[in-house]
Amino acid sequence: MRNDQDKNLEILSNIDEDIIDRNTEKRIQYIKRMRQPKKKRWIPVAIVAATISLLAAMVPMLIFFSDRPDPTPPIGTETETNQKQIPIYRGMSIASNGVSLEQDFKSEEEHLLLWNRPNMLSVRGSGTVLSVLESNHQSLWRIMYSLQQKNKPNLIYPSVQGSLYYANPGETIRITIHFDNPDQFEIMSFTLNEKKYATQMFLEGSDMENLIVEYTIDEDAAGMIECTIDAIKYIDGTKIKDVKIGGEQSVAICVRPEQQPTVKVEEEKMDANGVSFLVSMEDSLGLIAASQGNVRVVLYDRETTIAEQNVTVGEDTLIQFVDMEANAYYRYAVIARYDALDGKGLVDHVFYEKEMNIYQLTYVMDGGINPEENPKDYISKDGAVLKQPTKEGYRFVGWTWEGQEEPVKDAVIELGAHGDITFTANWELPMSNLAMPVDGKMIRSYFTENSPEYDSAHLGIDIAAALGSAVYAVEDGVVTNVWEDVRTGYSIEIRLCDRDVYAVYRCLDEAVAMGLEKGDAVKKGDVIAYLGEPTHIHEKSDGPHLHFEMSADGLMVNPLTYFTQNVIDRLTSSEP
Amino acid sequence: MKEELMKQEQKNDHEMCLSDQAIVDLYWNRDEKAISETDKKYGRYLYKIAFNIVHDNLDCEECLNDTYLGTWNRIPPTRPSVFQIFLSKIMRNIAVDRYRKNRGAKQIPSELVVSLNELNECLCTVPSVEEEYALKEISKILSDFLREQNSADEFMFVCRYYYSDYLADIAKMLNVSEKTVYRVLIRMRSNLLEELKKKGYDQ
Repeated sequence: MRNDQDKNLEILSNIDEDIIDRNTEKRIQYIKRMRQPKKKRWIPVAIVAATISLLAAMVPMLIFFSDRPDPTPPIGTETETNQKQIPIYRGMSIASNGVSLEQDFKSEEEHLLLWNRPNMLSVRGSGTVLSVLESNHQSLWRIMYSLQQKNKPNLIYPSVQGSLYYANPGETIRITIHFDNPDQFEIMSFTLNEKKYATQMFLEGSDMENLIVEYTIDEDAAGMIECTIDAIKYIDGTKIKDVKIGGEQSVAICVRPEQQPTVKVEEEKMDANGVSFLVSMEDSLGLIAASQGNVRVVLYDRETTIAEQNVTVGEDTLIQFVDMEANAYYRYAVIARYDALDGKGLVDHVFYEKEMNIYQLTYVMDGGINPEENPKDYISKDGAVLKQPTKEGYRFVGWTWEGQEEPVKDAVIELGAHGDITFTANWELPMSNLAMPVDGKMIRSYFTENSPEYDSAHLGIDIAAALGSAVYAVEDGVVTNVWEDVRTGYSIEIRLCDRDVYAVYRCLDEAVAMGLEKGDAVKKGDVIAYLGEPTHIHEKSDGPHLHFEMSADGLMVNPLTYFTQNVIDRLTSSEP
Repeated sequence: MKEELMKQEQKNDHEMCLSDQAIVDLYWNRDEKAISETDKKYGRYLYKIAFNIVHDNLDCEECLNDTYLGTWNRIPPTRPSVFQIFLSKIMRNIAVDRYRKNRGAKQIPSELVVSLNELNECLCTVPSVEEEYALKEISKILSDFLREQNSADEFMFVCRYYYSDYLADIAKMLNVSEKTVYRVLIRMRSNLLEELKKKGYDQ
């Protein structure tokens, strides 16, 4: 079992190496210095007497030369007591939360890049220049100036970041005070911004040449603040003396203000011309002006900026973006470029961002074909007109959608519309119960391609009947044309049922046909003419017959599709 | 004793000494001149460390020789960054070992005994059952405690209890009064005791 001495020795022997090394080194230095021969302090009485008489003789001379500057020995010379070099204050450095913010700059190149940003090198401020630091690199400099604007806090602002220290209000930072102190005098106390710091407040890691203390930034601090050290005392034996000042007594800290600029966007409108709104930017601390920044509203699509408008800080600015294209995607944002004093420098801050939404369009076609030009989506500023769809054997009546019960042929996506829309295509069957145009048999049907017998297309049907047979109106309608065709003789065109369906009768007798006039209304079954002699070169041999044609929506159609089966049977039956 | 030391001191001061680097190179090249050069340059300094602990001239000489031998055995492969610190630590440990050996026979009136007795009140609080572990743990607490002190206090503690320096010597080194050193050490011991109590090492 060990005795107490052994235990103590064991404990002491296991003290961490770094502590032993550090203090052994100091011990070596102290011992070395102790060995240096000291000046004899003993002064013979004779020398004292001689000195006094010499001083007495020099009094008049001293008075004569009293205007001359005092030949104070330069800092650091070994003229101090006991030939010891008294401590010299060399400056302060700052670490935030123990880490210097300068370490954010990963390399020297990156550091230079930030400083070389062109928009950072043109500092013009309406304030007082506090200090300018220049280095051997021409663009490595920093200027601080204080804004002196009425009704604004006197915010001191660093225009160019670099070797500045940044902190937040209320944050506790660490300040290291550096000394030249080869003779290891004990630094006893100092004041930092008028607060006294003494030995017990020096933090771990402090030594005879570097004192580390904590300093808390005021809660209401903003902009550039300064820490000033003063009244630095050290102990020499039993005396308390002043440390010599050989460095900058102040160090600047940049504090990010809580109060950042704000933006208000009002009266936002999207109309036929595009977008318009009022923007007002408030910046009570003048951060934007101080950093030579700007505020702008940017209109852009997913990739590029389309338009930009500047905003005047402190005033309402009307923003208008016009001539915006249909079926395009837009975003707009209020962006302020300024240094928020947060260590990031002059950067863009996005305050308000809006997207012009895309809405889905759905089409219910009911078997019809939708033209490819019709859009699949739209944004709120659209005003597109939809194209009409088609369906075999049907007529397009129009589109209907929510809130629009009556079909509309030319549907328009209204400007400023919002939300998804479903368009339903509405169709109707063509008229299918027309009366017999003439009592006879069909001798030539409707065909659209050349036939060997006929040598051309035949866009109607031929119904053979006796010369002078009555020709009837197949449906209610209005006569739209009566004319003599050079090939087919007298002809009548009737618009049926007030729709875009026309019936054309050809090969008529002149007498009755010419009795009708354009605009005359006819009823289904009315005799409108009598059959005449055929005039068409190919059809003369067929004898008297009615050439009957129909068109719907501007296209020729097979008339048989408009007749009932009963009528068709009568036309095609072989019975007389 | 003091006169002897002074004479040797003056002798050393007038002799030209090799640089630390050159001496280490001699060890590295296995040149026996290394030992004489070490002795010439640091003999007196190391002697003083040993004397505080063993308080006997003969023992001091032996400690010196053991230190040179220890250095010879360690370099190479070690290449100390600060040669004098390296020597100091070897000498201190050798002297402490020598003290332990000698202690049985007689009461040694060395400063080590005085300083260790000062520490009795706060350090020897360890139950013997888990001694090994607890001693290491206390060393750790002591190290942390020292790191929390300001540099002057830490220095005083290391000089007094690691190198067993006289209070007067420490005061002279720091250019303060002996009383100041005494007061600081009392305060530190009391704070250390508090710290140990906090960590559960109660008397």
